[in-house]
Amino acid sequence: MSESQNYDIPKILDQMRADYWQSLETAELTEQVEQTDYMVVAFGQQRLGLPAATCREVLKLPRIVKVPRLPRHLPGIINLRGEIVAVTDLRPLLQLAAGEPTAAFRLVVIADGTQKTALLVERVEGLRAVAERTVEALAEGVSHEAVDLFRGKVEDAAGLLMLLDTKRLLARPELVIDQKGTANTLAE
Amino acid sequence: MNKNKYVEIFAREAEEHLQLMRQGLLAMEKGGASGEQFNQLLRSAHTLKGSARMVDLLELSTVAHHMEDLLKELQGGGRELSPAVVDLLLVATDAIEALLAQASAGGTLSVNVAPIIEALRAGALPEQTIESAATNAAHPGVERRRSVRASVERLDQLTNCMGEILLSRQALAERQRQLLTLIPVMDSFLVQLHRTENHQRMKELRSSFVRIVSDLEQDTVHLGYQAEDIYQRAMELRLLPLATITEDFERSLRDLARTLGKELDFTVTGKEVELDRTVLDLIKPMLLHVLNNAVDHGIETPETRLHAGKPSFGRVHLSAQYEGAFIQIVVSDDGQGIDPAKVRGAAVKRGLLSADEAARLSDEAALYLVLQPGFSTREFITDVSGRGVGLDVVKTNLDQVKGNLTLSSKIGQGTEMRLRVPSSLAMFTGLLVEADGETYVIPQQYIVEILRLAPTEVRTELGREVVRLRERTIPLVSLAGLLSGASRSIEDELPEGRVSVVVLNFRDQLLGCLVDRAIGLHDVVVKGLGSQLKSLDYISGATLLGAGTPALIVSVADLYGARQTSEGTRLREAHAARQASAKRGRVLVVDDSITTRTMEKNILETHGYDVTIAVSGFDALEKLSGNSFDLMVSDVEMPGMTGFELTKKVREREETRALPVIIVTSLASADDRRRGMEAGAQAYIVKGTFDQGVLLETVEALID
Repeated sequence: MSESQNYDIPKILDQMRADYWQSLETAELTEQVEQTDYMVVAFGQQRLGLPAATCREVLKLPRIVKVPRLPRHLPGIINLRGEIVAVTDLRPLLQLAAGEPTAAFRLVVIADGTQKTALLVERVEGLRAVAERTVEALAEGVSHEAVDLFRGKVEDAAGLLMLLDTKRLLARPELVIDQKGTANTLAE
Repeated sequence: MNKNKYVEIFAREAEEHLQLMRQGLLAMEKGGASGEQFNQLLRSAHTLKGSARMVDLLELSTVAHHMEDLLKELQGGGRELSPAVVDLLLVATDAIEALLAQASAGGTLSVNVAPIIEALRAGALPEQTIESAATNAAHPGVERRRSVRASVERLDQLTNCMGEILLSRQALAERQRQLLTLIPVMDSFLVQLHRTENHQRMKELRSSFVRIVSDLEQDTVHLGYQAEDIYQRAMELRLLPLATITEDFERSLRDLARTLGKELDFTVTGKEVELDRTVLDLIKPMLLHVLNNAVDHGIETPETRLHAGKPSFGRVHLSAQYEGAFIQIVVSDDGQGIDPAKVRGAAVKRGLLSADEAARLSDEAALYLVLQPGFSTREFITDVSGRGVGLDVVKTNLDQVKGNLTLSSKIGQGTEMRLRVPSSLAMFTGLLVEADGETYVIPQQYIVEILRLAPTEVRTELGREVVRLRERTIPLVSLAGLLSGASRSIEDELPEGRVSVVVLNFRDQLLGCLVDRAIGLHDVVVKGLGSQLKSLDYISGATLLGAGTPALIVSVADLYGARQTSEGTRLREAHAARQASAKRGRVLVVDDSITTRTMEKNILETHGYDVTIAVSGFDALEKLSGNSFDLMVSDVEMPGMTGFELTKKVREREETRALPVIIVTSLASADDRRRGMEAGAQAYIVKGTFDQGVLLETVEALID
């Protein structure tokens, strides 16, 4: 009984208080690490990260109705709950081999402002938080036509992840088809 | 006159202007005012003044009038633009809104506008009271809105959702059908139950199940009716009467006639006919041009008219009436008519045509020249409709509303222009057709008929294929060819037997459009193509078919535009090629391996055989039942049904009993050969020893 009275209660409390503040600070520090959520999708070995903020939904492959006279990266249109949305196949733009999509393919609907498209992907891995400081620039001297579509890359357990800039992607002129508009300007 | 109705229409118009004015005034306060902003404000004030007077809202009109005056003063520099003046104008805008709200609610006008008018006159806010008066006025306690404004996009979203509910109803009906298939399963289970209480129990379960399924059916049907009803109502929300645009015409035409020194009797029938708001917006400038044209070009001066034995005042009549899902709008006048000779002359003079081309045009066709851009028959240009833009506007807008136009005119007696427009852009009846494996929609209004043609009925004229229909020669184009932009292989061009040609009429010109199949008429709801596909050649929009699959809507105007440049059909050539191959014989090649069947197909085709491919035994049986073949080449090892089983089935069927069968396989044992012969095959080729000589020899031997 008497031994228990030898505990220096105030000191223990001080220690506890210090630990508490310490833990708070550490928590704050971790929170301060800037993170962005990415939807990880892939074509074969090529993994791409789409900023989750621009992803609206993931769909099983519906019937894609082909539209005549469109380039290869626009395989057609789908019905998204009553709204017609064009499908974009990134493979031709990224110079990846593009075979017929199988039933396992998915569509990731992405939107930014008024632009909306359904990206055709081979598989969806899921959401992943990427710490901004781990993002590296693409290797210098990469002379890839689509290099400006990426905001960088990160290495993770599953390998290389290329981070797509959906704003820039949606702003690409080859993603918007205006056949009559062009015709009018030419006529004028 | 139903005054309330007009007040409502005015209220909607006024709200738009009030909003524009507020935006303009606020922008003005922030960064001074541009000339365009001033003009916009002046236009809004001016419109409010005039329109309010027309619906007898005199106080409102007076406020707008004084706003207009003050704005003019500001624009002319007679008064300096200060925040106080902007405040005053904003207060006046609020007052107009309050007056409007009261008028809409049907109450008597109790807003005291006198101080506001006084302030507008003085160009400054004299005292605090006005502001409070206007603030009070802006929120009168009794005010209740009887209509709300909804953007077309919102209405579209609403109809989209309704469309989805209709699809869900189909899904429910399908589920119910699936449940029904469980009943026989229960029945067969029931007979296996020997213990009386189990049997009894199951019987009760079954009858509860049947009852619930039948209730579900009723509920589904009920839901369907409700959904259809709401869908219709949602579509109707977009409709407005024609009167909303014709009111403006009466005044402006009267003014025009006066300026030109002509006497005019302008009448309108069918003001109550309702059209989609977007259609109204598109046809308004179009009708105005046609009417201006009638007054300016058509109606003669009173002296000329009297001289010609006509009454001194010219008659211009606008009529509208329903024709199914369309509205027929006729503008007629009893003026001097359009002289085809003059039109030809003017067209040549303006370089639209060569003299030769003009001479070859029929009188009827020459009339349509007035629709060309840059065309006017007048020797001098008036500021009304002689600038050669008028009727071209009509044409452009018509293309947008998918409307059709016909012109007829008698010299000295008058001109009649018929516009046929859909009452709604959102919905129309279309013919579903198949081309290149996809379904397309052609608006029914352009379709004259569907021909089923034998290739021998196709003629060639100046190197292009045409058909004759009731004394008219109709050029042919292939829908799939036009859409793909590439020439198709001859085989694709010619389906089995007769071909389907959709005969189209666009501005009185006929065109035959070859399709792979005409499916039938359907009511379709028009959808945009989304943000990515801003405009497409040959396609004007999309719709959703029964199961929710999109289908593209063909732009008939574009098809006509392309009929000169496209290469046309090659039906005769295709037919000739088929005839040639038919002489050698038709062969059905059955193989589940794409390599083998492509190889066999190529070998046989290069030697003049007509080859059809089947990818399985079942596929082969299906193809055999619809068509006649001279020979079948089949693999043995295929999933589902082996080549031996297929051969047996072929022998069992009456119509294919005599069909020679060649088995091509890698199974080389004597036993396999025996089984092949037993099944009824005439020849047996082993793939290991496969060379094209053996195959061709065998085929040749068996066909003759």
